[in-house]
Amino acid sequence: MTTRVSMVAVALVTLVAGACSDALSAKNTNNPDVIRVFQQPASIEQTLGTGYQQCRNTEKGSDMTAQMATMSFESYSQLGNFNMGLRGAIPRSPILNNKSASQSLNGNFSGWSRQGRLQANALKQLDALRKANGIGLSSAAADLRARAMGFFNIGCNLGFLALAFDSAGIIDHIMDSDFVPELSNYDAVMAAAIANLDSAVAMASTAGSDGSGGFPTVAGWFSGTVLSKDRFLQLVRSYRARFRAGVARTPAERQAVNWAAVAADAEAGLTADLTVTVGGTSGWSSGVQSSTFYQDATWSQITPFIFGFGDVSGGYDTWLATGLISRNGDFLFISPDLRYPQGSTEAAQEAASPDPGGYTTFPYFKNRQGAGSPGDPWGTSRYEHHRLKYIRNNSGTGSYPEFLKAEVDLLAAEAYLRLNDIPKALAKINISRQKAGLPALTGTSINDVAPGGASCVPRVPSPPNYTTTSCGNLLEAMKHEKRMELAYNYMGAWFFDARGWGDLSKDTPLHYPVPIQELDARLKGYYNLGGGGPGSAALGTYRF
Amino acid sequence: MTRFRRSSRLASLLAGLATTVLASTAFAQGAVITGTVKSSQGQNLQAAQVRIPDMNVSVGTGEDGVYRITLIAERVRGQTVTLSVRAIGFRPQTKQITINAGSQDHDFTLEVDVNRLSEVVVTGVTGATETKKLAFTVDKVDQANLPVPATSALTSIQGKVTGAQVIQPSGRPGTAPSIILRGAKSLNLSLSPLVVVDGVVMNGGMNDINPQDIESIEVVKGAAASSTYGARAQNGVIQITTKSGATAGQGARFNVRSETGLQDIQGAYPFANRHWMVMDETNQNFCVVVTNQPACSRTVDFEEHALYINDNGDDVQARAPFGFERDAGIGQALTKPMLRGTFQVAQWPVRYNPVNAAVTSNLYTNNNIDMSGRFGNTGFFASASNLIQEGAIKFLDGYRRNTARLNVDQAVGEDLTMQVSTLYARTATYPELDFFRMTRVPAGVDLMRRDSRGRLFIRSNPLNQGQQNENPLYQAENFSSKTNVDRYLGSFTTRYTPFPWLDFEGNAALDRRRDNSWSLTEKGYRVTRSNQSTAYLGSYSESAGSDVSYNMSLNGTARQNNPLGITDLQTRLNVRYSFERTDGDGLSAGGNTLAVPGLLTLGNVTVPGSPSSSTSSVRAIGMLGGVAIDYKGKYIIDAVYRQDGSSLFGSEERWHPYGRGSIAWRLSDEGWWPLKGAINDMKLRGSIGTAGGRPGFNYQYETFTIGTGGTVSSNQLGNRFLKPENTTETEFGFDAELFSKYGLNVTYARDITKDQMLQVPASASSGFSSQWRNAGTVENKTYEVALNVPLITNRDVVWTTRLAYDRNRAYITALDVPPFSSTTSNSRFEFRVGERLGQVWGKYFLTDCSQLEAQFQSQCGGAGSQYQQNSDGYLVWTGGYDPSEGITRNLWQAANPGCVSSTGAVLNQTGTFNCKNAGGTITNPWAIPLQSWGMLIVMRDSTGSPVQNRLGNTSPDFRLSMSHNFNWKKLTLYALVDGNYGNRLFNQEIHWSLGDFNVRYEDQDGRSVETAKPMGYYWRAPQPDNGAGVGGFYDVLGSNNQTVQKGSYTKLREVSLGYQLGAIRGIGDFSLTLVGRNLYTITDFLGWDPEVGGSVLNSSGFGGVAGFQYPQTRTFTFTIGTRF
Repeated sequence: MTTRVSMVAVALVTLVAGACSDALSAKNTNNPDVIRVFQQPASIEQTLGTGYQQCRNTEKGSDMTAQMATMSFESYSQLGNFNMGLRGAIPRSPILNNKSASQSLNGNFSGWSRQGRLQANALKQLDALRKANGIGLSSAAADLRARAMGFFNIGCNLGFLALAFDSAGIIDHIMDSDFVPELSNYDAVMAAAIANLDSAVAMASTAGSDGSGGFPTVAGWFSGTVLSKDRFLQLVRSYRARFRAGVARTPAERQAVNWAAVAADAEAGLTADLTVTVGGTSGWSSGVQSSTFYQDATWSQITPFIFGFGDVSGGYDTWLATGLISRNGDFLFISPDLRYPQGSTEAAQEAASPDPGGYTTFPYFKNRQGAGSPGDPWGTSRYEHHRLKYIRNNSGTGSYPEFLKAEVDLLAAEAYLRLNDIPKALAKINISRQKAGLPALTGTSINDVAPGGASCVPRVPSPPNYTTTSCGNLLEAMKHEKRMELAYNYMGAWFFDARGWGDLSKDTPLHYPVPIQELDARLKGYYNLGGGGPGSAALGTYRF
Repeated sequence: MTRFRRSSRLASLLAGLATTVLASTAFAQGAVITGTVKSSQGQNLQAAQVRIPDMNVSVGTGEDGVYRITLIAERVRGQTVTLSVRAIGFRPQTKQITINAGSQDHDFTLEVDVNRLSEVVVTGVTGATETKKLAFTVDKVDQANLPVPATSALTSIQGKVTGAQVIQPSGRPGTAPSIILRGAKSLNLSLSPLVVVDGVVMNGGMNDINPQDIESIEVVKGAAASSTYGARAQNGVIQITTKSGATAGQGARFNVRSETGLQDIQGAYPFANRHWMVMDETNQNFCVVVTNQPACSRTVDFEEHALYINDNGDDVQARAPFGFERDAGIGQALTKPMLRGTFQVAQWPVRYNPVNAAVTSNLYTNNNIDMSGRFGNTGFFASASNLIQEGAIKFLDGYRRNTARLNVDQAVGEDLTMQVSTLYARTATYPELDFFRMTRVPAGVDLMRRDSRGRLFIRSNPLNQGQQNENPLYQAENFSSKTNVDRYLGSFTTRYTPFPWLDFEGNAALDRRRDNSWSLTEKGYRVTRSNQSTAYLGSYSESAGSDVSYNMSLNGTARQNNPLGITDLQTRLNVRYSFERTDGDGLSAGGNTLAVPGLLTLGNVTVPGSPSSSTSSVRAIGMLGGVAIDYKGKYIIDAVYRQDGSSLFGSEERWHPYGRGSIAWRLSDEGWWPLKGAINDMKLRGSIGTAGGRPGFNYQYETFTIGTGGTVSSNQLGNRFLKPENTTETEFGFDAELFSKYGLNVTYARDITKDQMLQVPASASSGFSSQWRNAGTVENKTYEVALNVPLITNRDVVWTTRLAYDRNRAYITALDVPPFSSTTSNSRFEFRVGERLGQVWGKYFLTDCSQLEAQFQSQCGGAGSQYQQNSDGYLVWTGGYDPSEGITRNLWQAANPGCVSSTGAVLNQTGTFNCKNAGGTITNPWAIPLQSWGMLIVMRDSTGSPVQNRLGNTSPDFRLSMSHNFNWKKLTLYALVDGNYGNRLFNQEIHWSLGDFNVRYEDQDGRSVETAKPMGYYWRAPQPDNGAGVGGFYDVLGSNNQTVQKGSYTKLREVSLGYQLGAIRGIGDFSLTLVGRNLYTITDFLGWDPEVGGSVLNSSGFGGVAGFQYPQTRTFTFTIGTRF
């Protein structure tokens, strides 16, 4: 019996010991964690390299892109898709930030979460890079280049959040992932974005950043193109100019922008359009722009509200003079502006607006074939924007105008107008204006109007009733150029300017509330913006 | 040298075995105790257990009821010992005997123990315990309760255990049932109980067990009893013991059973009988649209046209049909005047029943052979089985299972026993029918028609919807797949009893499950339209996965009688250590565009897809200490403490404690008990215990996702503080026997499950999208009543019935995250404090004036009112006419604009302009733009948005079951009826079929001019919900009060009628049995089966949606069995 007892005892001890030697921890060998992801500097560099792509893909793919277009009269659609119809309705309704509203319809979640996450992760990448202290990257120049890109990425993420949302979380140093920073007001978020862009400029400007292993950028960071150190700096400064001007919510805030800094950045901005290759297997997308807006007239068309400024036939005046409910957008825009289809008949205009071969081709708008069905009375027209349709026609593949030189020029123009440097402003405005076949602006005061008399462009609704038009002043001419050149180019291309210029329809939301999902995660209450409540636009310049 | 030693050991072991085998004849001077064990009905009881506990002796009776105990001379000392006899279903008996040399004879006659008070359970307790001494509920189902062999092991307990809900989520052969014990404890984790088979902690796949191997099933329903299993036991524990030779008499016996029959489907799908399309004057041909020609300028024969579009030279694609005049459905809207004015009344020239076309009676066969017995000290049970379930659908093969089992019990000397249990099973599962498409087949379509090349039609329905709904039988015939599972279960248990008061048990078990599957869409598979992906190019995929689990435990139990000098006190001390490990891996790969047809290899794929694979490993340690105290047999106290560690818990929360305390008081054993005559046995019991629910493998980890091209993106924020869910159960109840006859068990249990694991969105600032957190509490209340009624128990006839009732309610009582909702198969469920689990939400069509917007209520009511109830009970706008006058007064085309401007102009509200906001006068409730005459009205809130209402609960109010066991001479009859009552289900298959006008109540069969409704009444909603419609029930895809329907049912679940033939020409002991399963369902539910359906929580058992599932099959079989 003793033998048996001891045998059992030995067996017991063996079993227990065998079991205990297996610690109670099991590795997850299916999904990487942050340590594995950022273990090697080379892989950090590779991940950093995709940061801008992810930032701009998020912006291009956001439902907000479609909504901001209908909120700013850049586009018109009755459809429920992307909530385009709801956001474009007059009177304006608030952005309902509650559970009963479909979460996807609010459209603000994916952009918020992706940009927020990208921001946090870019910071982790930079931190990992800092800890690695350049080891593993091929050179100090490579380290500078990677860091410049990292700061640019964060600037892009924060800039997006500051432009679109009333507030956001700013992560300014590496924290425990469980720590959630308080929400900061959009101006603080933009200041943080600018600071990151400043750092990007500083890194890229450091002597030797274009040495071996450094600039130009790696192929793929900017799809289809590599940026030299100088061109990278131009891009960063162009963004910095866009952000500084675009963050303003009201005319007063717009006026208070540091226009000298905008002018300086714009002057040092892109000297030629930056294009990237989208579609196919590139992972770069033309997003909502080419997938939605060029589908057909049901999806989207341009609406007379502001596109009518180019019309010199009087049709727009008639349209303006008709009550909202009875308006009929079924008239021809006849314009000396080459961006509109030329011709005084339906047939001529249809013939003059074939699908374009590239984004530089005039006209930018198309008179739809078989037009003449007014559809919903007040928002429709015979036209749709088709400047980028060549991409859609080619299965979403093509060269996308990522950042237009025209934007830099017109940012500079606005800065000079604000700084009352009229000659410099006119020089910038006239670049695109003359290209579009319009007579050059002249004048010495911002109140001087566009030339052309009855055929002047732009023709702007004028007081006291805003049911007739008159020739726009130099500011309006600048605005016209910017709208025509930037329409449908990126999220909020019109919207961000329109709120600062005071052009929005009354009660249009000025920005988006923090999405319910984020507020849930923070255990905070929900709130709505716009529709007459907080965050609503005042009665606009044109009384729409 | 080593080799020699080993072989010498083996030799000595063999010699030992031989010695023990021969022991019975070798020692003439010892004692021999023999006897016969009979039932009070006079039958010999086989495999009754005869024991002398003091001497650690145990034998079983043979077929003739005879036992024989042989003791060697050294053990015969004239001592007085207890001889006890125990048989399943009978009250045990004991006798004091004196052990002297020579033979002695002791016969026993055992009384039937209808109420099972003497039954012994081993689950949840720290040592084998008689039911009457239990301080908590442990249900036991044994062979005697299983006259109808289940096809799946867990189905066996259906209707037999109160509080155990067994749901077959699909009738597809091979689908395992879902079991929920005492309601849903968790919002996210699996609701399945922990299952242990012969000491093997099962890693799912309960279908691999052969139910006919089962000796008994013990069910522990909640934490009050399951604490001994710790972190895995919050859903309860089911312990299955398979048959063994432990109590077998000497010799070998064979048992052969062959069951063969048919299976089919009872329920019918309520297809529409009539159509709505335009036919020519002969009523034989259908008008088709010809551009620029008047209507009906061309007609086609429906079936000929189907042949035309399918029978063409193109190998892969059906030809496009002509457009039928007034074709309509989800894919094609009728104009609004037609929706208001077309009634579904036209006769099909020939009518088919699509279900009858697909359903067939197929083979069901289950063959089983086993051998059990004992040679010397070696008891054994061996079995082999073969199950073929072909299901009830043409062309589909169903399910196959082959199993082989060997269980060996070996006594090594007097104090050591060893037990080995092994199972090898192999199963094969074949494709299932696409029931979604099945619900889309109009009555005029012949699914079985073949073209000139012998192929079934791919687009058997030439209507517009036929484009997306290909013939489900074409797929059944031409798509193939197979999943094989190889399962090995093995456990080794050894018990060592050095002293009568002390024993040790060691257990080591292995569960290895490997599945392999492939699926093939053959090259040249036909499609109904050119843009339907590239199915015709063929695709092939394979996947394989395996799970290997080991578990081992060591258990020590010490008993002491009269400790500290206290008489009548019995104590038992138990310590246990267990270790578990599960390693899993999986791999899948596939692709499309096959090079040649007919191959089952990835090498045939020319466009490979993305392969994927995964691995996981889980480890757990448990340590338990328990004490059980029994004072005078009346006061029973039991306490358990367990500490569990698991790799699944967050790294800062690796260990968790569990425990239990319980007490029972056998009132009827008190001298003062006044009701001895009426309530002869009465026990009060109460228990409180805790058990846990483990996080899933991924939950605690920080994860990034690897995308195409190796891009990584952040995904889940880790949680190192993640705790297991923790259930605390308090259980009270009593067990009584009345008039020494009726057994009554009543139990109330309350479960509070804290630390609910929820995956919540993380703040974007964290860099991750979600995180698993402990954030909520679910509370369950359960009532269980079981009543055993022996109707007749005399020498010739035994007739007993058993009734079981249970009722469960589960509520969310705390939520540390904001309320949220989830949508399961388009039905909505809300997660908020106070919400009962299973509440289904959806839109509500008004049925009562009080539900109208306040300003319209005065216009609602009886004759002449603007709003009245129609013949279906829904409130509709009548314009002051009677709802029955729609046709006679041509009112169906009327509509009321929702808003009128100040000048009286009807405002067009289409698009984005909002008349209400512009100051117009509202003329319809909630300013519905155009309220059509006689059409439904959706309940809305002040903003005009449809209100989401509670439409019923998918969990039943209560459940009932009743079983009857009847024995008369050689005849046995068994029947089980069970049912769910008071629940409602979202009938998704009906709802979606409404869109294609394919539901019985859409056709106007049997309706009068007064009650007929046009097609638009059933179809989509009007603006503002949906611009296309004017009605209707189909609305959009979400649930509403029309399609959330009564789900109560009563099922005749099991019936068996057996006759004992006895020996034929002196051979064997033959029996014949007729068996039926799921024979008949009584229900108001409009569909195949209210029992199958989609899941709401993480268990297919917690269902609420009847949608496109394989209905339960019923089987009729004939069994012949014999023993020899």
